[in-house]
Amino acid sequence: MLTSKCLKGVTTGYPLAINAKEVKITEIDFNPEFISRLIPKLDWNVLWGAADSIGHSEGLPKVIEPKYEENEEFLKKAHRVLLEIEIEEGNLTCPESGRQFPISKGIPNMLLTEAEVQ
Amino acid sequence: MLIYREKNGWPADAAAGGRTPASKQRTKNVVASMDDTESTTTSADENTGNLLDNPTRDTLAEGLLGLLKPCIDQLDDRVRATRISQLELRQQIESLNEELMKVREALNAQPDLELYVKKLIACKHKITVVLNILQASQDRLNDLRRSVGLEKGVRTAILTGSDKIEPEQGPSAEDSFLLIDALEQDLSYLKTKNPAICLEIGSGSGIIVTAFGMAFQNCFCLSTDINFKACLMTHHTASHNGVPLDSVNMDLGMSFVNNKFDVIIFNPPYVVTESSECGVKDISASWAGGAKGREVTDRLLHEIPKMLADDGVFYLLLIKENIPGEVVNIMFKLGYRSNLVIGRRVRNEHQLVYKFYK
Repeated sequence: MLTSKCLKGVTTGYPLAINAKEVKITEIDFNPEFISRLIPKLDWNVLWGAADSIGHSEGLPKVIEPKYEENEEFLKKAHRVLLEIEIEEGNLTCPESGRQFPISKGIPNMLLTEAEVQ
Repeated sequence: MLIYREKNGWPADAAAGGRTPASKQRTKNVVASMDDTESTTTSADENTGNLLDNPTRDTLAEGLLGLLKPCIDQLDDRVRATRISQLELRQQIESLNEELMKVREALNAQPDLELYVKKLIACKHKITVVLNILQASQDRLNDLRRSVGLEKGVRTAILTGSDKIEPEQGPSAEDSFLLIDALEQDLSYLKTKNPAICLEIGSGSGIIVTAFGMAFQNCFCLSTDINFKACLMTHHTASHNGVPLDSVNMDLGMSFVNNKFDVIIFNPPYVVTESSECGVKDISASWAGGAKGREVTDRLLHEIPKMLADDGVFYLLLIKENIPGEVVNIMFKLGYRSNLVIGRRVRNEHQLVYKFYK
């Protein structure tokens, strides 16, 4: 999930909409420091929207509260959404062009065709 | 054998009493070796009981003896000869006996071998013990190495072979190790920077970014590669070594949101080739660099300002043929200072790792 928040479409196409066909949840060690450092780097609204679109937004607050780094409950939920929820198969859609970027085996394919590169 | 004397009118049967009338018929088979002594006396007259004084008898006896003597002599000779050969045979038997005794002794001289066998077995035991000790030492050494690697956090990423993915490899892994060495050298510098998000472009096997992830547990790692199989392999390598990493099939770093990365690492396709060889999406993308081996590198250099965070740092591997001076110039014009972190001669390549920062 975290990666998809870093990806964008051709020119400004951000955020990419997620269209998930297969979601995988893996267990990853919770590292609170790691999560608290990442959160300021993200656009939280976008993250919430993405989580919501795949139906995993429950318990996740829409707005970040101040002193979130001390709120372990919150960090754990963020950790779950950011790292543990993975999209195995699906699509990322550019809001600008509608171009679909397929995700296969957990790896998004952002390669542009020859024509698109021009 | 009866001896007869032919005498005119003399009666055939001899005087030595007891001669049978049948002897008369052997007159023709007579062998006489004695002189015939004329004797007018008849056997009847001489046939007295006085055995001692009978001259005819004596003569006859002599005659018999004479006849018998050669035979007896012959027998004697033969007996003597037999006796001699018997003696010889005995000697032979004795010498044979001696030989046999020697052979038996030789056969009985076996206990020596047993001793040597015992020695060999003892040696074998010792070798087994030494082998076990070596094995144990080797295991401990491996454990030590592993824990040392964990302490340092770099260069313990182990590549896995997966059944699903055929691991295609570029020509060698020396350049990857040089990059890892460079990162290791800058470890304290990087630790103070405390990166949050790291990106490796062209991750290939994923060994570099995995090593980085193991050293920086609080940093989120991303990797890209133009080759989908490389993305899969990177993902495998990272998860095998316990590093959470996401891999994206992408051309350089084109599709990333701006200025997110604190560290960017690039091990480019640096081999000088024909331009046509460069830009293909298969395994040759890992080494074919086109003109000056820089076609791919140059494209990325111009993206760096869009990708790197303000206080971010960019590590790049080059070879002398890539003309590092030009690269430094380009980056300078883009607003970056540069430093040579580490260099190494590997076979016929002079590899260099540069870092760029603001």
